[in-house]
Amino acid sequence: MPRGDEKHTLIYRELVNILGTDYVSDDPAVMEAFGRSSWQPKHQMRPEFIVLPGSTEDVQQIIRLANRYLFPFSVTSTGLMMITCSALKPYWCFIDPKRMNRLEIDEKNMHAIVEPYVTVAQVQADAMKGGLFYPVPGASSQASALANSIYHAGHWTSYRTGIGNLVLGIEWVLPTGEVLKIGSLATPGAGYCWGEGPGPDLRGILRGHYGHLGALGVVTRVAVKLFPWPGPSIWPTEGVQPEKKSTLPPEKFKSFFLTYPTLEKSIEAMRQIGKAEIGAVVMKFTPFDFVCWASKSNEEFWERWNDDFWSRQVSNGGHMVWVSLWAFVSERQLQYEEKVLKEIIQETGGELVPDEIHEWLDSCCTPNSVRDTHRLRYMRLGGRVAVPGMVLDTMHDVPRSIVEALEIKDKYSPPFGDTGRSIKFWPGNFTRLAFTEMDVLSEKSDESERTMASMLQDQIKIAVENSSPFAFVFRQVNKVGPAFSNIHLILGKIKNGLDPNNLANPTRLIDMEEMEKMKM
Amino acid sequence: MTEERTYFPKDEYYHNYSYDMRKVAWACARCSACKWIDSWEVKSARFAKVCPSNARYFFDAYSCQGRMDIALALIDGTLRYEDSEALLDVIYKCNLCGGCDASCKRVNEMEPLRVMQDLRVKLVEDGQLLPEHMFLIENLRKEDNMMLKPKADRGKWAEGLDIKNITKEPAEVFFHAGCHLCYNEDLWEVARTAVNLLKNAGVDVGIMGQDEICCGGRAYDMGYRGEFTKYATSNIESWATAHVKTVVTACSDGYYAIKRLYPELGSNVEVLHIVELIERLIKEDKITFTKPIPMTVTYHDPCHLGRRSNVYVPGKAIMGVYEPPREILRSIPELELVEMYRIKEYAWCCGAGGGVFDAYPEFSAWTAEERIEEAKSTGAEAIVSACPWCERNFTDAIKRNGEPMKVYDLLEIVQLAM
Repeated sequence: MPRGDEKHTLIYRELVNILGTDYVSDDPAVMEAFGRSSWQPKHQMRPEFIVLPGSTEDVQQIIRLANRYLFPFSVTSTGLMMITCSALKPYWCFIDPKRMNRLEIDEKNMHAIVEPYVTVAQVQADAMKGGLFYPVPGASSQASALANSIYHAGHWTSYRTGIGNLVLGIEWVLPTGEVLKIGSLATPGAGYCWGEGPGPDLRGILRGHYGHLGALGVVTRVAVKLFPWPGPSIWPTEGVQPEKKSTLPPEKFKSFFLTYPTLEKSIEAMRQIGKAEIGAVVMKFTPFDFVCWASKSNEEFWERWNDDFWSRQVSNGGHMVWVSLWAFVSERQLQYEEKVLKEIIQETGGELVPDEIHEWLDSCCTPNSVRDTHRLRYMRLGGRVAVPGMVLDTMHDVPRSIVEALEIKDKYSPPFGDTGRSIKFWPGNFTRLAFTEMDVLSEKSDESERTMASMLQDQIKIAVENSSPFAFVFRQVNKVGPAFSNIHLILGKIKNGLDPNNLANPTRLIDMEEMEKMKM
Repeated sequence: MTEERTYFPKDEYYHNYSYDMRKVAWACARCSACKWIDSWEVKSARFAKVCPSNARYFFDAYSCQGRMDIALALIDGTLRYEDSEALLDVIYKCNLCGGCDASCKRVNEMEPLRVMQDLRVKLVEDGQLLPEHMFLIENLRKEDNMMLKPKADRGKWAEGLDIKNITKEPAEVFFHAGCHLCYNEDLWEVARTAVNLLKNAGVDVGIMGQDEICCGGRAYDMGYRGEFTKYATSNIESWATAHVKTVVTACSDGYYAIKRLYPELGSNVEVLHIVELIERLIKEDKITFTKPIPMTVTYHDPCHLGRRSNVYVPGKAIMGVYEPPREILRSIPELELVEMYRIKEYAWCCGAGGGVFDAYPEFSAWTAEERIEEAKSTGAEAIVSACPWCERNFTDAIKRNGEPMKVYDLLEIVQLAM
């Protein structure tokens, strides 16, 4: 560990010169809080420095310093996915953006300008006062709106609000320290209202398939799209957690929980709903997702999971669809949509769940689909989950990709826990595409970590053999690139062009050292 | 399917709820829920954080999640005391308010507050002490109080009161004034009001005057578990000797200690905060408010009276004494109660707890000022609480900044309305 050597001391002093002593630390106890990815049991390397920039200019100076003294750096927001940014090399500097927490709601232009440490819940709280909202991701409402928008950007309302493409103007500090402004921000006086151009749309580089993990610099400010919100301006609550209730006005929000005999039937129903352009939430959910989300305790989870209703769902394949209708314009609109939905249910052979199950699910799913506060409950069952399958493709592709996901799941269960043979997917943009995900129970243990590593190798193999775009394999782009139009060569050139010293979260997104060794 | 499912997870810890310091730290999902109030309760971007320590110092080490990482590293030996100059600062710059605990219980079914309490015990056992805390504990050992005051002055607050002393004659109900009310002359009237209310309502109540001793609660939170046990045991014995059935206190710290911690040492007395008793007496028509108080107030939930005051049962509400003080305020003519953004299980701390008031006055003051800002945002003229430590910290904050906001203990409001 070079802590205390001449280079370390020099870097520390320079960082203090930029930010002051309160906002720089190299103390091992402070580093420890960024030294462990909680999804993996293996103790990881502590960073050597943590810095707390307060502005874009601070970030620029830190990155310029990194280039002068050649030390690596990475950034996170709330840190749920530390696995993608923890320290891997000596002199690693962690950029923690907690002081960059400015939020501005532009009601007239329906967007919010956010810095990295503004949560989805914060954006919503201020946006809802003006009848607008930003959708919530599966990572829950304490996730950073900025990080979410440039990463996956899938939400419970993706059916209506889309997957990706929520970002407008962007302020981006490149790995060399220059500031790049994208979209209307590049036009003096035009503000944040537009994301494309001028010239090529660089948002593709920034977000791409699944975010850039800070390997192409630090985004310091973005404008995110806001959508019309027909609900109350102040989020309604009653009681005390975890028994707290949040009831949205039933005349404006109505959920339906359906079961289907086959996956194909459930897909057909969702496609018809999309064609009719009704609904705000349309999700293919699994019994595991429902029970995990709505159970107030582990004990309740296991009781429900093993009861007759849910055991039957699991046995039947778990083809469950959840639809929420929102009265965007009027209550009559909702009544119309309900009528259309009921016809679709009848035509496609769907069945509504029993009333008791409906009430239990409704109390959880309807409010959490907007302001999720319970989703991370899935981690309490064993400390983490594993993801055998995660693919962004079309609704037609789901029956194909589920076979691959099940093959991997079956191979590794046990040690993974059983969550049935169902798959969850987010239809996006009125069912024009689908983001599928299969979660299985995984215990936070050495055995689980070894299994995860083996599973990734299988996913890479399948990705290469079948050109199946598993999301996580793109973090091994050197290996899978040849199967996907040599994307690794393009990405390598982009990385090299933006980060010639390979300092921005090196080895993540693309491993330039390995590329060099392989003479790619 | 059932047979298939039973093998997961292998570690029994996940099946039957229990507390294990290392396993809680290990299981931390790093979800960051501990830094924020319940997302459903975020009604303003400005007042969304729950952890004063992280909000003030920003580094993750100054948060529940960071302290879980540090606890794990200390237990596993991957971090040694001699490696870090900041370690004590990181561990002790925490109010132990339990805001993180409420969030973690909601999401992850864990009690990280206990980890942080146990971490302090470990530090004390390992000789990693803060001089400011040692000084207080030394005084506690000599003078039986946490206020750096002589034992002989403890009973002065009750001079002139016609009230039983349970060291001389038994009483069914014992009023435990607590260190702060005994020694803060500005708040003597609060304690006297409490006793008079009980007496006038026909309650067989007694005090211990000069012989009362500290409840030990603050020593517990500082990590001095031995001192706590000594004082708790002594109190339990004294109350048993005097045939006390119910202990009433107006101090939230004391309420927590006696209600939550004493039963583990064999105490079986009923424990009530004075606000619970007053609410009961209002319902029984033994107290009525006749004088209007035309004022808009907001109520601050003390951590020890609120989310920290009950034993955690997974899946069940994180209960505390939330409604009685609100009911009392609502029953006062012309008084209007307005709520802050962070209330009940997600209340922002006053800053006085966890030994922070004594060791880190600047941080303690900042925390209180942050709450005053929130109180001001409601339009309230006054902030009301039910704990002398909260009242003291808020009063200091408004004096320091020349704020027009008034600060009251609930009993002061009750007295004005009677």
